[in-house]
Amino acid sequence: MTLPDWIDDRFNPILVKEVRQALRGRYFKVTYGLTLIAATLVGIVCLMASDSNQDIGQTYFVGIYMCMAAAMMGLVPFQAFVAASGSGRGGRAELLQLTALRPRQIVAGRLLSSLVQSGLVLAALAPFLALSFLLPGVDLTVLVFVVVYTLIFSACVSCVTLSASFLTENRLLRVLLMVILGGFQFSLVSSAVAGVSEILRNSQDLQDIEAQVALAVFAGVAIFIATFAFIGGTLRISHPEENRSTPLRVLMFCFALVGMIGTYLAMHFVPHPEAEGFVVAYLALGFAMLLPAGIFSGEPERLGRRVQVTAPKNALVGLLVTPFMPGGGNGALFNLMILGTFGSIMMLFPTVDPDAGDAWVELFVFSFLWGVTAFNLPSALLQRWSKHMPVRVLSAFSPGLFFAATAMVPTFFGLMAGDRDWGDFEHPFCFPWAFERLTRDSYSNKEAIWAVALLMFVVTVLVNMPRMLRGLKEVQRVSRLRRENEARAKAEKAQEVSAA
Amino acid sequence: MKILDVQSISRSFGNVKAVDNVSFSVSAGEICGFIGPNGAGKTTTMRICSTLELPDSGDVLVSGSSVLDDPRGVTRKIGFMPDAYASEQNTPVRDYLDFHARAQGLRGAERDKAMRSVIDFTGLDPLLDKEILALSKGMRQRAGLAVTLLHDPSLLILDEPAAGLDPRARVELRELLTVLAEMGKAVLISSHILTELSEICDVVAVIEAGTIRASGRVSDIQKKLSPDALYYMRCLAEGEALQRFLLEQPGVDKVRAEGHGCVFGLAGGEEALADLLGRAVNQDLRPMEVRPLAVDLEEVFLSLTDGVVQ
Repeated sequence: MTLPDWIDDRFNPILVKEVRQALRGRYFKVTYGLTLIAATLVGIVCLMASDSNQDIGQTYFVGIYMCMAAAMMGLVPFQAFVAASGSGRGGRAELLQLTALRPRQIVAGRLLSSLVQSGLVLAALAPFLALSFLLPGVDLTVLVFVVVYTLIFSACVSCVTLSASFLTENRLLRVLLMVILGGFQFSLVSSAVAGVSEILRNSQDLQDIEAQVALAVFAGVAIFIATFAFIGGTLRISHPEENRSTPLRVLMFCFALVGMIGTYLAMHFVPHPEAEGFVVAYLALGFAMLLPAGIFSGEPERLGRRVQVTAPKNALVGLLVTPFMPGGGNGALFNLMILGTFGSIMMLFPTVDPDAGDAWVELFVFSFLWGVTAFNLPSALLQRWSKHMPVRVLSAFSPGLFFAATAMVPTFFGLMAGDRDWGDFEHPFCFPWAFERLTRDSYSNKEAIWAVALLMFVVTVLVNMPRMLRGLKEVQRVSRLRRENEARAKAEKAQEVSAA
Repeated sequence: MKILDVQSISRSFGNVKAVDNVSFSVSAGEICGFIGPNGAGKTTTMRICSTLELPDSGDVLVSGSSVLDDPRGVTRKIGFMPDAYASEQNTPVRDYLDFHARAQGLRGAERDKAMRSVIDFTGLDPLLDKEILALSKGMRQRAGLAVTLLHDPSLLILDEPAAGLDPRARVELRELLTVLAEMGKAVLISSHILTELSEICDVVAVIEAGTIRASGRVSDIQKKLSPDALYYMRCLAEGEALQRFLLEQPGVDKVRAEGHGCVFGLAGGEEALADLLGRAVNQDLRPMEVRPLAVDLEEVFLSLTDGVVQ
């Protein structure tokens, strides 16, 4: 076998098919042609409209970049959405389940095809970019940075549009999704063009460590969202009986760990008082992390047959991975684990303000109690009906609803009873108010705030305990079953050998 | 050798029991017709057999691999063809087959060999550069069949493959399936066109309201339904006289006039037939033609099903 044949064999089949289809299709040809024509026209207009010779390169570059961004972050990802939507019709996506392709290969193939198309657009625009570099005003570093950044964002947007295409097969909802994605892409392209012209004007800012960190964080967030979308898309097209929860849990855990370690290290390098911002970002990250966690704690309890075969055979490993296995009880364990790890690392933070050290710990513990309650109590109450999809959706949104209900219901009763404070959302069940009161040294009735938080936490633990224990037992049972099956198979084989 | 072994599978959707304790099997080289009215549970059963759906209870074994415990192993052994197939845009037949061969994990020379083999078998050679969507329905079904055969599965599951095909395409498809069965493949095929099935199926499974009403050879099912064999008799005497005579005879039932003669059921085998003929001669009916009738699948189907829809 020749090397090209060997390489050809290793290509993702979806990539090969998608690229072939795209290159034969009208959409890509039109996109490609229009991008080239637009780049030529915009370039000429920019060159003619430029006032000074000093920034002629910049004006030209922004014009070309407009075409590039529109194609790479707009049209190509949109084409990915349209192509993936079409592939789901007539049960074709389902048929791919019967091939040797794994869902992640299917999504990866489509994503790579999108990247190839972006690469082709970039190659077509390369002469224009080279010309902008030859004109005065554009730095090579900035040019390379912008191209690489745009490629990353193109891939990220494609990931999002791809996973969106797997969300529904309803035609009306698809049209709605198209409109939403179109709007999102338009605003992204506009922001990118505005950002690039800003960078060109102040290109020396790129040398600044703060700007570099900000851009890295921005790219990091985009990559996280894209990874989340990629995994979500993969799980969406996998068999409903497959394990759809563990990959997302692992991603969340990894992201949390990276966030925690990153913040911890940043606390060492950034001097007080700027470090305070990191702690706020850290807390925000903690709550953001818990949003998808609401989905985990609302999952049905029993492990399906196809999930059972993925459980570890080793009892100890089984125990350790229980929070990562599907199921509402395991989801509650996962939430506790994430919150616990979050808190433990926060305790290790170098004190932001030596005098206010205890206050930070106090506020964190308070947030922890509320977080555990909001993300586990409503879902535990809804658990009985978790087989039904509407209940699971409600369960996923239940944390937000919990915060709203705990603030509004006592307020309503306060209004009915004529209590002015409670009627104004000033009661210990209202989390923002209670949090704000705890930051005040002068506030005297902190005990009531703590009593409410502790009471809700205890109730949550008590309500969740049975399902958490059930989750642990279920994983142990499956683990034992797998060990027994393996031992039985071995014994049968040995018997066959001895009989032979 | 059993290739497909459906073991007491059940599947419910909400309160509707789509499949209830269904069991049947298909052996190597057998074509099994899976028949039932709309909403009987055919597609659900076929989807369970092809791992697309999971049973609530029971199991399906495909050459020993369980759809529950080894779904990947099962998909390697089956070729599933739904009623709507082969509808990729901007894709010539060659690329279509190439994609599916790659998707089945075939590489290099193995892929070329598999493609050549299915192209020759299905006669797609002259159409390789044509766009899939430009093909006729019959040719598209052929392309679909070629795709299902690429990885050389031991079991073919075909959901309504003859639907919408013209008579020539149907005959061609039937011939292809017969050849496949001769090659040792087990074929599970569902269709509403019962005459089509009766010509190619060795065994049938009749399903209604999620339960199997009967399964096995059509003649065996017919025997179970009514132990009488069906005969056609024509005499020189008037048809009415023959009908009257038959209605009076012991062991004769289901008498009906057909053409110049009568169709009737007779218990007791060849001896009873010889006696009957003797009596007809004695009564001067002057019998000219007596022949056993082939089992009619349509009749079997109608007598087994009540038209219940879930």
